Amino acid sequence: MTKWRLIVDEGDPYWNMALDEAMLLLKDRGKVPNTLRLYVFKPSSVSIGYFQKVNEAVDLNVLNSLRVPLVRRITGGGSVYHDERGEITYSLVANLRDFPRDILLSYKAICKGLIYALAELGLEASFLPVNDVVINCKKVSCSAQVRKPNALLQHGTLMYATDLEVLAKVLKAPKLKLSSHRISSIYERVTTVARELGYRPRKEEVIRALIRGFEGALGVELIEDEITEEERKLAVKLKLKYESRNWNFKR
Amino acid sequence: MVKVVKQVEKSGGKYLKIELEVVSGIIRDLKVSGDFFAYPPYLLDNLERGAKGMRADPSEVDKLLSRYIGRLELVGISIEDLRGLIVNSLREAK
Repeated sequence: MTKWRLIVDEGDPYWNMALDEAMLLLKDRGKVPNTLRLYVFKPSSVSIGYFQKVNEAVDLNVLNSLRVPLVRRITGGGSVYHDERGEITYSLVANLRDFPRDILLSYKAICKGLIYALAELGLEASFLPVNDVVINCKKVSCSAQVRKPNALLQHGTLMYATDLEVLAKVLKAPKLKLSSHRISSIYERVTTVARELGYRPRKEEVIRALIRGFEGALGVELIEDEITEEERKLAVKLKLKYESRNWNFKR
Repeated sequence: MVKVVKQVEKSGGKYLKIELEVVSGIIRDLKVSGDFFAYPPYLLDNLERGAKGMRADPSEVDKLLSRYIGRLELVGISIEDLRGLIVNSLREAK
């Protein structure tokens, strides 16, 4: 069976985004194996999509008062609240040729790992194009992907016990969206594994489910390892970009 | 200077916003934002820059956008959505 590298770690938002980009750039040059990384944002953080305007995606006053750091991703999509105590982020870096060229089909193929993981936890979830995984029509995960000539990076969130009250305070949905969805808040559009199960699963249990889920969906064996020295050095350099106001407030 | 802001939400739930500034018939600034995806993302940055200094005319917008067809892939929105918002903004900016 094909073996992929598994990285399980945690970091601040700037490091997390820097390491994802470093892995992508080195994968594009054929220097690292296909990899699934599972990680936690420590401290709890917000990431926003490449094309989002900061002041439309988040409530900066709330972020400041709660001391929640913000980072802009290299991937598009919407804003995400990464709860240190209730969310696991995955990132998958692989050869472009290992996934469908069609972007939507590649999202679907990768999100299958999340659907299998949720099944391991006893929940029936489904893929909702473009980039969401839903349980009972409520979003429990969303993903974002970026491509290089030879590699892709897809990263995304799995909310297993995210504090939805904090999420609803820090993230803003465009007024246009709220009116078209005929609901009053983000809180009513999202859910967590804990909310659906009726109890709070342990983080380790969720990580195990994600490992089994991605192994099953991708038909690979995940072997836990560490990042290379080259990845670490490149991530240290890239971290400066993610820490900069120029990058985070570019829109 | 005339500044026009237009936004749209697509059926898939993705949101697109255009902010256009026109001075004396010339596009001074174009900003595109939202929660959609663009492959590769930097081409949309280039497109924004390419609009600056252009005549505020739909035919110029078409010329600009035609340079990106086949190179820039949008997911959640389309090039036509982008064109529609820019052209509508130009009408209002007159």
